[in-house]
Amino acid sequence: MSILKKSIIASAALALPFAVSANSKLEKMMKDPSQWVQQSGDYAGHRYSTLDQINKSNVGSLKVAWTFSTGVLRGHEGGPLVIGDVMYVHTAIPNIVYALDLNDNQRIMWKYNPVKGGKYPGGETMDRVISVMCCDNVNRGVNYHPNGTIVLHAADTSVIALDAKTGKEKWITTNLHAGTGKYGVSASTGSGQPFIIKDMVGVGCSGAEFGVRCNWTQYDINSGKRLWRAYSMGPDKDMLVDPNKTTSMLKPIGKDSSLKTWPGDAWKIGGGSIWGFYGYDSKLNTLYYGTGNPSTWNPVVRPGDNKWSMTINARNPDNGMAKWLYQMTPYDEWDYDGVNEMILVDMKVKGKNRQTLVHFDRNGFAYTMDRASGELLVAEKYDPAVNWATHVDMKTGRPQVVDRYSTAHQGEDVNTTNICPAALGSKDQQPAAYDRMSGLFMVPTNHVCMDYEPFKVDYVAGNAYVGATLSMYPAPGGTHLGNFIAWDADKGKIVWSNPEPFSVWSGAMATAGGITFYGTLEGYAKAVESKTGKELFSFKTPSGIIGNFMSYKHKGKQYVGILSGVGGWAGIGLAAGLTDPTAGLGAVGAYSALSNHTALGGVLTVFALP
Amino acid sequence: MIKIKFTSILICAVIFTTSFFANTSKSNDFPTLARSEFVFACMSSNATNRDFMAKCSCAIDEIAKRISYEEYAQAEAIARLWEGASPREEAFKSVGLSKERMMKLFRAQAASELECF
Repeated sequence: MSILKKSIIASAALALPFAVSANSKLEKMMKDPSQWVQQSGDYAGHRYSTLDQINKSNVGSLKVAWTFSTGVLRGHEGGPLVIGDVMYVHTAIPNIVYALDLNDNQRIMWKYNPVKGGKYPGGETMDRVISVMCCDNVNRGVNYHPNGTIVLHAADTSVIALDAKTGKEKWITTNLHAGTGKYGVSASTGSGQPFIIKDMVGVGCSGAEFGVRCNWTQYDINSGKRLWRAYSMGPDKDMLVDPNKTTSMLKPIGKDSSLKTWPGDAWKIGGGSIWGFYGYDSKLNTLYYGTGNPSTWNPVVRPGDNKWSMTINARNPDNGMAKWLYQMTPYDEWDYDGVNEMILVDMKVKGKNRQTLVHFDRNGFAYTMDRASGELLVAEKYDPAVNWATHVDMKTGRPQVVDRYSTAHQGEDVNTTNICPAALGSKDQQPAAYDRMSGLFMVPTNHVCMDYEPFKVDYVAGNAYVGATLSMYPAPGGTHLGNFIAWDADKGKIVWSNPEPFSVWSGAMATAGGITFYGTLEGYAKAVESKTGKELFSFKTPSGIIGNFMSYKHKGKQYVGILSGVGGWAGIGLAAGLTDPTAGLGAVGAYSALSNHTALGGVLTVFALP
Repeated sequence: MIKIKFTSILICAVIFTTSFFANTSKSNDFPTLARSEFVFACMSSNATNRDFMAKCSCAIDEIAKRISYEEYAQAEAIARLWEGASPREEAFKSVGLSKERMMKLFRAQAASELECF
């Protein structure tokens, strides 16, 4: 009997009131390396597989075992899950979910498409959702609950619980309905993974470019009933903070900690999106996530710290109350979203055993924090090019901003030049991995700087609310736009660094085979030796890789899977200049109409040893 | 039909970083898979007959004479990013490869069209 079937029967037999059992059951499944049961592999976000069949001595002979075409163009972030003998694969908009039978040549057991008659469950049309969707229509993957549910967080913010066995809808609730925003339209979108804790599922929201006020919302996994919602900014009761008990830098945050840091009611469209990869510590019963940039991008119109945008949140998942908050970039002037993944590692820091949280922020600093207390332990640059701040003051936790790179100090309509990193950050959402063997963090990075010119924008509902002109280019002294690095989170130092022609936008995975996998925008799936960074394997997949690596074992064999798919299909893009009849090159339509050729969209490539 | 836009409204700088891509070789080093993919795509957008198999095969051979596979793969990556309409991709449009550099690749294609079609 498959593990999937077992789990369904087991959860039915256990009945539902035992919330703790669901949690421990999921955690037990996370420890089984044959499966990949959550997007990050485990709650700690290690993205580490204990499988070692594929290792540094044989990875060079890795071959494609099978591929699966998703039939969808655009960006494929996140990755598949494996539960028992079934693999679950998601796509970019329209957010199709496939269940593949690993026992039967990956036969499609069921296919679910949330868009019916051109509309998402929340009532929005797919076209409308695409028009306000940031970043290549991506979705960062489905997640699994041991009561036999696959949860999808669709682009229109609908949270959809599917029967893992049949693909039938169990319940649907639209997290942020159209027409409920201040401006009467929904500009919020869903791209982040739904995050399972106990018998709950939580989701964030995207859309800070569009002047939304984002939040984390927790739902009951069995009924879809809303349990709590914590806004990123606003009155204390909206944010679920206790002025006396919630701390920041070990001190209570006090009353109206957010309201005091915004002019007027600017907090109402304050941004603070949540769409990265999250962490959960079941012993501390704490959920960790980061909030994004304050809107608008033009800092001149929102003087103040803009709390709690750009903040690491530690919350009780049962009631949402914040335990501690740490704002990394007060008064953001560069769009350094704080949403990146939270990696939970127990390790020695400065000779002392600590329960840490390690976070590689867009702002170019890697933070090592005590995840129980919120104490800041280490904050160092993980790209030497970073120049907007000299350092982080360890007493106040504040970055020491350099005036020359302060877009607010320079003022509106002034082009501030050579700021590092660019708005993409030293690293975007693509999650790092923790190599348990070497104790190093494997980090995909950007190595890009920018010129940034803020200008005044009026908010127009549903339109991008950006207010800055920027241009980007490689960091000084080189021509490469990315590095793949190994980081020591105790010392705050880079151990090795591999330059890459493009930013590395794929998630990493380390394994007990002493190797780490990552992908590139050209489409190369690579494996390097974790200790040294030496490249051992490289294979060109059909499109650019912005998905995350995962591994599983089936019938005694280890597999490694990765989604590729970026933007449109490049074959068309490359030739598109020729399809313009005015080009006068007698193009004979050689490259036209390929956009309808959906077989050339996202592809899951699965590798194994021959 | 998908078109490449060279400019965007909010982010429109064109940065010339030619040095990285300046290493033009004529190594004719395209893997068979890449050639096949091109031919498949080219035939799909024309006709799946012997005539176009010949034309499309000719076209990719002509392109491969003019740029290296590494450059082609990088240009593909850039072209894909140009297709993504979002702040992230928009921002990336200005990075690493200028319009001029991309046009050089288009010229390789144009030459292939003249040679083969």
